[in-house]
Amino acid sequence: MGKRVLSTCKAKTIHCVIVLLIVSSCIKEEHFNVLSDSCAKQLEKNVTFQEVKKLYQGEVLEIPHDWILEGYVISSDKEGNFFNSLHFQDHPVNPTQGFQIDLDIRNNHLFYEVGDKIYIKLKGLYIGKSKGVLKLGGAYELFGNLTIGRLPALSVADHIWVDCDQETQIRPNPLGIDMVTDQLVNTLIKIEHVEFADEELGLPFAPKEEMSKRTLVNCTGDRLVMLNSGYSSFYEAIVPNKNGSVKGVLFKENNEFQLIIRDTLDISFDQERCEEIITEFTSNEIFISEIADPENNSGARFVELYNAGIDSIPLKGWSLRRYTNDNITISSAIDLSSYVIRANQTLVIASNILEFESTYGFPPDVEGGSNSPADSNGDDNLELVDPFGTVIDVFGVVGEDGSGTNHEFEDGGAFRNIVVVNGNPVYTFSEWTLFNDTGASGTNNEPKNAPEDFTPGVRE
Amino acid sequence: MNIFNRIQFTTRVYTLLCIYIFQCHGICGQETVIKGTVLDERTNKALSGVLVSMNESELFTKTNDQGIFLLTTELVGDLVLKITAKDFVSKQFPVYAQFEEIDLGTIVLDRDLTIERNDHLITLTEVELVDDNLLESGSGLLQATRDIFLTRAAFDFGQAFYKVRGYDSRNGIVLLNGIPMYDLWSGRPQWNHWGGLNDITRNQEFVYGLDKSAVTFGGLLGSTNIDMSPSRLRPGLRISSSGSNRTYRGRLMATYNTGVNEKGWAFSFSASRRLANEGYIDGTLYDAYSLFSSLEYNWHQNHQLGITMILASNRRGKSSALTEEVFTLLGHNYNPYWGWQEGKIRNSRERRIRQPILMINYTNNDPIFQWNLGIAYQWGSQRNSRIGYYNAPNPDPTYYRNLPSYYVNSPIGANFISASIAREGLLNNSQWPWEQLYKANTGESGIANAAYVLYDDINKKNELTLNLGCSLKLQERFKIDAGVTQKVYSAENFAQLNDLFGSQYYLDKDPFSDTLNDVNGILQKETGAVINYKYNNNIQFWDAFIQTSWQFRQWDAVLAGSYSSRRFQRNGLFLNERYLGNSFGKSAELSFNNWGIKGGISFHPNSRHWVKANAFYGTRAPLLKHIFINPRETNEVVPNIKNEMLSSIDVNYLMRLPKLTGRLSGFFTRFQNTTDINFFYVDAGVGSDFVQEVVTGLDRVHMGFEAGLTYQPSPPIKLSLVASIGKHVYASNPMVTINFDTSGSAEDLIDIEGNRSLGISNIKDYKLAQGPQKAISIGLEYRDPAYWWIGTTANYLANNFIDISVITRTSSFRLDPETGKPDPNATEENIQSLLKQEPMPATYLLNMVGGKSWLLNGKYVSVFASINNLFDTIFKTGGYEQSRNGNYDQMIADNRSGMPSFGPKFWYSFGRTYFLNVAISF
Repeated sequence: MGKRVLSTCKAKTIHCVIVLLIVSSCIKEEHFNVLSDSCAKQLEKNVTFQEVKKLYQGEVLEIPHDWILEGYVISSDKEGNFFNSLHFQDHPVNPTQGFQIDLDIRNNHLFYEVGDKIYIKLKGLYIGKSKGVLKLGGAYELFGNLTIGRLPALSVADHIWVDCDQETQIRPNPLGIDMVTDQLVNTLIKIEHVEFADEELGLPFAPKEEMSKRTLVNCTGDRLVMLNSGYSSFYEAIVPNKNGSVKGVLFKENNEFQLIIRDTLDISFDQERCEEIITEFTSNEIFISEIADPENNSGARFVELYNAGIDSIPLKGWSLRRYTNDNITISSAIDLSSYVIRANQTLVIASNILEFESTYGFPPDVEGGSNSPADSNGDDNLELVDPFGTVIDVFGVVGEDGSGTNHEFEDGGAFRNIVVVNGNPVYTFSEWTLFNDTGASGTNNEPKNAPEDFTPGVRE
Repeated sequence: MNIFNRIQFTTRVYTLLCIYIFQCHGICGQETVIKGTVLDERTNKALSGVLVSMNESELFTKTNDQGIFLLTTELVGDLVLKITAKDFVSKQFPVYAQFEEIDLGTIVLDRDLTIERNDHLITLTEVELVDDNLLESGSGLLQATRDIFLTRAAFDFGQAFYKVRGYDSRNGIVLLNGIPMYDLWSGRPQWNHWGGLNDITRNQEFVYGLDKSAVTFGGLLGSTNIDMSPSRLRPGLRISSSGSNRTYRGRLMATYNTGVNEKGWAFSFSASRRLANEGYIDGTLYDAYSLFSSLEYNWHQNHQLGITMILASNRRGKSSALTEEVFTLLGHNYNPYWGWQEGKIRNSRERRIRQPILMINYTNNDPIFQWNLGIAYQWGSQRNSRIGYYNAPNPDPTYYRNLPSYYVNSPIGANFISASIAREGLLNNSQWPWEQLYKANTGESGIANAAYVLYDDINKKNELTLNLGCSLKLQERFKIDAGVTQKVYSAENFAQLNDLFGSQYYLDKDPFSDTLNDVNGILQKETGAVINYKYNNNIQFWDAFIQTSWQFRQWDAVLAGSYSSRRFQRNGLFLNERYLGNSFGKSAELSFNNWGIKGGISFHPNSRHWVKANAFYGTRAPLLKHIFINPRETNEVVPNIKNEMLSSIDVNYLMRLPKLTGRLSGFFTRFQNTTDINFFYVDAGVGSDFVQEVVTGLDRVHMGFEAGLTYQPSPPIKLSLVASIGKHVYASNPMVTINFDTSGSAEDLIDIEGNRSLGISNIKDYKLAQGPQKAISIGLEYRDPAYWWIGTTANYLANNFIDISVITRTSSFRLDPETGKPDPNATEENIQSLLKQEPMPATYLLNMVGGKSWLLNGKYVSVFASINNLFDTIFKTGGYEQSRNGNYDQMIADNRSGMPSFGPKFWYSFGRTYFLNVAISF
C-alpha cells in the first residue's frame, strides 16, 4: 500500500510539493528575549528645581511649560513605609534641592529604584502644597478648591522616564541632628549619633495600620521626629536600642521636620547609647525669701526665691505650689523648669508682669499670673518642691487658713530673716518677720505699701 | 478509473442484495420497481455511487458506473425518492407506487455551488476567545444541515452568538467515525481537535433535536456523525486557499484521497495551515496547522478496517470583554491583553491546544446486522497562558484602578481632573506594558523574586474511548440500534512557569495570605517548574443505549433508552498550606448513574405533510467542572451534589410542496437540579473575599418555536423566511454558598469554617444569557445556470440578555458590611429597580454570499465569497454582570456617576468582515 501511495505521489509531484510545503511551514514557537529596560535616551533637562518650585505662588496650578526636570530617586515603597509618593533630589551627592511627586501606583519601586536617574516631563502635571509640603502630582477639587493629588497610574509612564544609565549611588552627607534645615527637605540625609528616646524603647516602629511618630535624639537632647507607617513591613519590629546613624528622606509637614526611612537597613545603630545627662538638681539652699501683698496695690504681689548656695541651679522640675486658705490640695502651681537661679541671687515671681514693672521699675524673672502662688492675698500657704517631689521649703501650714495666725501677711509681707540660709520643710515662725493688718500671734500689725516697703530682687 | 470497479462491484452486489431481500418480501406481497439514470449536468457523464433512497424507509441503493439504479419496494402510495451525491445538489422525486415499474429516465444532478460555504461556517463559528469564558454559538454542529432554519441559524444568526433553542453546545453530540468526542470538563464538543480539516469532515450525518440517530442516543440539540473514511471521500486532490479578516487572515489547505483501489485499500491525507498576526480583534494572533491521514482496508463485501491519525494544533490570542466605559474610549476591537515587544505583537493570554487523536475503526456492513467497533486514543495538552503578579501593580490597562471611572467614583467625591488625566493615560498606554514587566523583574528586588511571571494553566490528558455500535434490521420496517461507549480519562492539571521576564526565581506562595502553594516542594522556582497547583482527575464513563424504530406507510415511531455511569476522582499532588487537610491525595470517588428515555412518533398522511413529535425524560451526571468546588486547591466537593434532571418535548410540522417547503416547530425543555460554580472577588454584605460561589438547585426552562420557509417561484430563485421566538429563563431560586480559604486572620474572615450559606438567590424568571431569544430573517438566493450564485439575508436579532450575578440576588446583598445589618435603603423596591435585567439593544444584520465555478481542463475551480454585516453594525453580542458589588450600598455608590467601576462587561460584534475562498479540484 505504501508503495502505491508513493507512486501516486511521484506521478503528481507538484501536488506533493504543495502538501509538503503546508506541512513544513510548521508552527514556530514564539520566543521573546529579555528586554533591556525601557529607558529615556534623548531627554535633557531644561529647568531647575528652583525654577519649578517658584511656579507655586500659593495656588495649585497645572504646569503649562514644556519643562523637563532631572533628578535622582531617593525613596522606595518596597517595604511600604512610603506610599504612593516618589522622592528625588537634584544630585546624587551634595544635593541642593529635593522634590516629591505623588503617584497613584503601588509598588512603584519596581519601576523607579533608588539611584535611578529620572526625567520628569512637567507639562500637564500639577504643583501645589499639601500640609505645608510642596509637591508635584495630579489634582482634585475639594470643596471647590484645587488640591494637589496623585498622578493616575497609566499617566505615570507619560511623565516619568528612567535614564538609560545604570543606577547611581546616592551618598548622603553625614550631619548632626541640629543641622537639619529647610534646604535639605526631600533629600536623602544621614543623621549621625542618634538613638530612640528613652520613653520609646520597647515600642514597635508603628501600631498596625496607623501612622506613628518616633523620636530620634542625640546626646545633647536635640530631637527629630521619625515618621513610620503602620502599613510598612517592619511596623511590628521593636525600635533598636542602640545609638548610631539613620538614613532617610527629610520631610517637613506642617513645619515639623520628619525623617522617613525606606527600610530598617537605613538604621545603623552599633554604638552605646548616650550617657544619662543629669538635668535635674536639688538643693536645700533655695528657699522663699520674700512674699508681698502690698496694701496699696494688690497687682504688685510677688514671691521672691533665693539661692544661698555657691552654684547656679537650673530649676528643671522645680515648682512653687499654693494651697489657698485651708485647702489641703494644690490650688495652683508654677513650673520653674525653664529657669535658672544663680548663686546668691533671687528669682522674682510676679503675679502680673506689667503691674510689677510699673511699680518696681524693672521686670520680674517670672510671671505667675492671677491666682498663682505669686498672687496670694496673705492667708494662703506655699511650698517649694524640687524635681524629685521633695518639699524644700514651706511658708505657712497647709490646711490652716492664715487669717489671724502666725503666717498671715495680708496687706503686708513676709520677709525671711537674713540669717536663714537653708530651706525648711517645716514652717518655723522664728525664721520670718511678718507684717499684716491684724498683728496676731506675734506678727506685726503694720500694712506695707509698694514699692517703698518691698525689696524684690535683693535679699535684705 | 480502475478504482471505481470496486465500488461498481459493491454497488451491484448491494442492488442485487436489496432486490433479493425485497423480493423475498415480495413473495409475500407485491412490489414496485423504480429505475433511472443519473448524470452530471455539466459534463453529461454518468455518476456512479449516487445514493438513491426513500424517505419513508431504510431502503436505498446506489448507481452503477453507467449511472443506472434500480430500486424495488413493497410500499404503496405517495413516496419520495431522494437522490444524493457528494458535492451535488440532492434531488427529490415524488412517485406514486402501485406495483408497477416506474422509469424516471435521465436525472441530471447539479454541482452544489454552496458546498464551499461550510468552510466559511468554520470561520464564523470559531469562538471568539474571551477571557476564560468561551463565547460560542455551537453552530459547528449544524454545518451538515439542509434545514433552512438551521442553515440560517448557523450562517447568519451565529455571528450574534445565537444559540439554537438557547441550549449550551454540550447538548449537541459530535461523533468521529461513530465515536463520541467531547471535552469532559465542559461536556462540549471541541471542534479545535479537528479544526482546519474541512475537506475530510464533509461527510456528516446530522440529526436535529430529539430526532433519532442510528449511532447515538443523541443530545437535546441533536448529533452529527463525522465520517472520515477514505473510501467515502471524493478521490483526487483538492487545494484551497482562503482569506478573511475574522479570526485568521489566510488559510491553505490540501487534501488528497486515493479512493479505493482494486485490492481494497484507500488512503487519505489532508493538511492545512491557518494564520493571522492579528484577527479582527486587536492582538488576537492565530496560528494553526492540521494534519490528517487515514488508511483503510476493505475486504470481502462488508469488512472495513481503518486507522486514522488527526493532529490539529491551534494557538490563539485571547481578547477581553469590555465595560461600556472602555468600549466608549477604545472601541469594539480593543483588546488590552496584547502589547508590542521587539516589534511583534505579544498577547499575554494565549491558548494552545495540541491534542492528537489516533483512531482504529472496524465496520461490518452486513445488510441485516451492521456493527462497528471503534477505539480512539487522545492525548496531549491544552495550555492557557496568563500573567501572575506578586506585590506588583496589575498590568492590565483596563484594571479598574487605572480607569477614569475609578476617580469619578472616588469615595471622597468625583475627581474629574484625575479622571481626565487617567483617560489620557489610558488612551496613550492602552496596551499590555511588557517593558514595565521586564523593568520590574530585572530591578533590584525583582531579580531574585519575580514581580511578574507568565505561566500556563495546563491540562494534559490521556483519554481512551471504546465504542461498539450495531444496527439490526429485522425487516424493512423494523430496526434496532444499540451502542456502548466507555471512556477512561486521566488528566494532569497544573500551572507551569513559562517566562520569568529576566527574574531568576518565582516564590511559589500566595502573596495575599503569605502561604505556600506547594508545602512539600521548593519555594524558589525557575522557568519550566510547576507552580500554584497540581492535581489529577481520574474519570470513567460508561454509556449505553438501545433504540427501536418502526416505519409504516403513514406512521413512524421510535423508542430509545439510555443508561450511563460516571465516576470522578481528584488526586491532589500539591500540599497547599491554605488547605492542609484536604489538598493532597485522593478525594472520595464520586459515582453517578443515570438513565433516559426518549420516544418519537411521526405521521405523514402523504409525502407533502408530516407531523412529528418527540419527548425525552432522563437524568444526567453533573459536569466535572461542577463537582469540585475549587479543584486546583482542594478535594472539596459540592455538598449533596445531585444528578441533573431533563425533560423535553418538541412538536414539528413539515411541509414539502412543489414550490414551498418548510418546517414549524415548538419545543419545551426543562433542566432541573443543575449546579454552577463561579469564582470572583466580592464585597458582599457578609464581608469581602475571593470566593468560589456554588449555586445548587438551579432550574432552567427553554421554550419557543421555530419556523423556516423556502419558496422557489422558479428554479433559480429561492426566497426564505425564518423566525425563532424563544423564552429561556431561570426557573427556580437556587441555593448559594460561598467558599473561601481560612488562612487570613480570623477577624478578617467571613466565616472561620471557610464557607457561608447565603440562602436562596431570587433569580426565577430572569432571562438566560443564551444569545438572542428572538431572531427573524428573510433571504433571497439566485442560482444562475451559468454556474454562479448569489444570496443575501436580512436578519433581525433581539432579546439578548447578559448573564446575571447570582450573589447580588441573595439576601446578603441587603446587608451593610459595616454593621452586618440590613441597609434601610435596600428596600425591595430599590433592589428591584437596581437589579432589573434589560435586554441588549436589538440589531439588524445584512449578509451577502456568492460563488462561481468553472470547469477548466477537467479541473473544477470554484470561488466563494461572503461579506458579513455589510453595514458594519457594532452591537453587543453578550455580557455578564460583575459580582464585585455584592452589597446594595456599594452598588448604588458605584453606579451613581453612571460610569460604574464594576459594571457589566460586554462582548462586541465584529463589524463588516469578509471571507474569500478559492478551491481547485484535480
